[in-house]
Amino acid sequence: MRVRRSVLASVTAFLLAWGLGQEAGAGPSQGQPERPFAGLVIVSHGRQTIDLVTGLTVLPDGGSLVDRHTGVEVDAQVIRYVDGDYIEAAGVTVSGAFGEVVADALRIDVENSLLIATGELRLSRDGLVVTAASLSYHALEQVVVFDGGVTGTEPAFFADRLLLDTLTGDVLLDGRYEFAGDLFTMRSPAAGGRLQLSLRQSGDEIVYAATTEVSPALLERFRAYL
Amino acid sequence: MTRRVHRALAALAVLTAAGWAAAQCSPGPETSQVTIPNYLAVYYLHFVSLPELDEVRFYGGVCVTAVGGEWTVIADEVVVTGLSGDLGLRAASPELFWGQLRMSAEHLAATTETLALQEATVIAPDFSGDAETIVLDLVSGGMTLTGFTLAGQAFAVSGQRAELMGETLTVSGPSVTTCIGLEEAPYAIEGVSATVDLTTRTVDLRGGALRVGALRIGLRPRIELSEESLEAFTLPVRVQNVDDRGDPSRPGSGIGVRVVGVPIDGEGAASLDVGATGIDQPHPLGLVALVRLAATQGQQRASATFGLEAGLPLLDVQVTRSLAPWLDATLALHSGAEQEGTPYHEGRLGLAARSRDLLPGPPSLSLSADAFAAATALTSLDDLARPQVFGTRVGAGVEASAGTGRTAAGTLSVRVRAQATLYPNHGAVQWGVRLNPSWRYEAAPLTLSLSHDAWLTNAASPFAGLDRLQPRARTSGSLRLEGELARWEGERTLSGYVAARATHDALPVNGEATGVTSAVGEAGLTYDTGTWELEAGVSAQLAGVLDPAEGRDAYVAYTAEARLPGWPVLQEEGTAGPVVPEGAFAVRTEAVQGLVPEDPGLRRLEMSVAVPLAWENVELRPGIGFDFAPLILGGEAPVLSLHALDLTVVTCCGSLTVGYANQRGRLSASFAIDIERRPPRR
Repeated sequence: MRVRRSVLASVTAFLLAWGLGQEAGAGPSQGQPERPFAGLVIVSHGRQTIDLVTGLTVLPDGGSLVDRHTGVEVDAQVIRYVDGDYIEAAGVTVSGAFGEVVADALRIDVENSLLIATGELRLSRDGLVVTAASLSYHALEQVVVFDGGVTGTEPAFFADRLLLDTLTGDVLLDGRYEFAGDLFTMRSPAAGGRLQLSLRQSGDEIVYAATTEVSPALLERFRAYL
Repeated sequence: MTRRVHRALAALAVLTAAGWAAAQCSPGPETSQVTIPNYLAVYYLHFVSLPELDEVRFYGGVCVTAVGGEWTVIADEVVVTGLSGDLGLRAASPELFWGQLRMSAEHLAATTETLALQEATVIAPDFSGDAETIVLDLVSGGMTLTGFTLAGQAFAVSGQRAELMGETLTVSGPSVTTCIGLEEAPYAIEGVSATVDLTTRTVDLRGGALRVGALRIGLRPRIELSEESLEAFTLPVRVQNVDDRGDPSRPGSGIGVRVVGVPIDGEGAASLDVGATGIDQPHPLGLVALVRLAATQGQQRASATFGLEAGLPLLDVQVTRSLAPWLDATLALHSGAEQEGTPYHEGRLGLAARSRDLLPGPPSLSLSADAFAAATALTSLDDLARPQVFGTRVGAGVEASAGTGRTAAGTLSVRVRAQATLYPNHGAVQWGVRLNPSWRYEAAPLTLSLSHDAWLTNAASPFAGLDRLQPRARTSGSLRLEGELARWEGERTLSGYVAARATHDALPVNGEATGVTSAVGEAGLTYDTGTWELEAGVSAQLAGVLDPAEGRDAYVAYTAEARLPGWPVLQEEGTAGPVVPEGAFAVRTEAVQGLVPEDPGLRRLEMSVAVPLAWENVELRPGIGFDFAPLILGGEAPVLSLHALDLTVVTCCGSLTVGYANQRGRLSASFAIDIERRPPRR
């Protein structure tokens, strides 16, 4: 049975890679850099059903996705996708430049290069552990936006929203926030504010330098999401 | 402007900013707060953490308050240091509020136990100043200052180092001067150490010396300076006008000026009075040069004065020994005349016993007794060497005083004295008994008083002018009713008074006839508009009408006066505000009408005017008056009846006023110091 599943998975991966390669070769993006999530490799862990009318493919035994452009890898318990349109997954573990995320659900909007994770969401990366209600990974800009009450344990903080620059590791807390230092806890003004957390290497440790005066470069970087 | 003036202005700015500071020390729409448990709370606009430096920097307007509120720091930027170790704080150009003190500085550094300020300015309700460093001990509440100057209204204290605990400042290397705001005071009282009571504003200075320019004069080992004593201490000049008693050639009479208490030793036990008497015509000019010595050793006190008084030799030596807590023995030698005194030569041994406060009261009762033996030669100012009366004197006396204290029925007191003196060389005995009851009742707006002074004596002393008693039976009474009559909006008030006082001598005094020697009735109104003060009054001396006697006068005087304080203002530019004179523009009219047959009718109709003229460092107050009675009565020209001039020089050390007044031939001089007056700020 296990041999049979491995054979099926290999065949599916071959077919997907071939199909996407055909599409890429014939599509409008020919000659242009490949878009994030446009070059996904999906490997089924078991059964696979395809609705030939809608193009919806379901992997009820789960599977994994790999985006060779962004380096995002998703391991899910259930995967549903329409080729070239979207991918939905449940019980996911996502890893990429932004760290490793565990979430109840995930949706990748292929057209907009957007990855959204929701439900019991937890992100871990060097020096940063965050839980939130939802995560949006804007793959083109390489920006992650956490929403719906964001709580960090490394470092300890709470914020209405958190924006993460996956290129630099810099973080912006937005809205009402609390940031706990070793001695005291910084709280936003009553009307809310912004706190920049800049990634620093201190010996073997990764620490964040906090500042309420957000650098213009970071504001520009996050301008579309504020 | 000097650096200190700059600092004083900066300090004023701190005061102005106090309200803003209070507002900044609370969370707001754009202000955040963090608390470091058991240390401080920070209100800030922005912050940045610097993990590599173990610091957090708050900026954009920061208020830091101690948990408990003992102190507050306001600064543009505050850095909290030692986050993972020894906590600290530092700030540039902070303002620190600590109790009633407000301080600003170039730099602040703090730990959990101390706050240290560099190049600081301090402002308190009663004083302000600056210091090179100020360190506040947050544990003990003490303050240590170095290189500091603190100035009150009247004087400034500076020193190398001082410790403030509560309201007491202990200073090393103190310097006290009334010259405020000068880099180098022209004079100062310097010492080894001093204790300053900031509540009473007194300085207890040890090892002191007076420095005037480069000259240093040693003072007593320990002196106490206050606003009052400093005024007398700094310029110990006395101006007097001594009545010549009808004899213009009398030595010591007329206008005199003397500088008193000039120290002439390092211990302060010896001093010198120098000056001159009779500097006005036609009184004789006399030199004053008196050395005064004083010493105390155990139960023994000694004092001596010798030199020249009004050009005549004077010696006075007294040694007093306490034989018991209630008994003193005094040995005294005297030769010459004190100022305005009777000249005599004498050797004297005396005992004085006191038993005060037998009833500490109220009611109160005290007793005292004295006895003496003396050899005395009474002489005259014309020839001190030739005694007019010579002989021995032996005397004793007892005295008792009792009082009810203030009661609902007023205050009643009684003084009784009995004394007797034997003059063996003259075969005479003088005795005297005095009874002096008095009563006073005060219940605003009414004040009543009544007293009787009776001396029963045989007036048998051969030493007239020295100890001869004079029989007396004088009764005096007074009544005064005064208060505010009306008050309107804009601080306009009308007040008035009615008063009467009378004296009756049942026995002749100094050759005057018995009877009603004085009976005065008077009334007056004052209308204050808030700018103008208008006064009108009438005063009648009726003794010569009620009980006519030779030389007893009776007259009515009418007065009207208008005053405008602080006018005119001559200088409005060059200073922080207009230079307002402290004197008042005044116009006064006085008419005196005689009521006795010897001198009836209009005696005087005087009109006078005074104008204060003030500039930054000088104020002149000239006054002039003319008597128009000769014009009305005989068609003669008005007579210059009054002329006066006060000159005030205002310096950074205080103000000095000298002046004279000639009122109908009576010449007087004035000399005054105001150590709180300073030139207006520029």
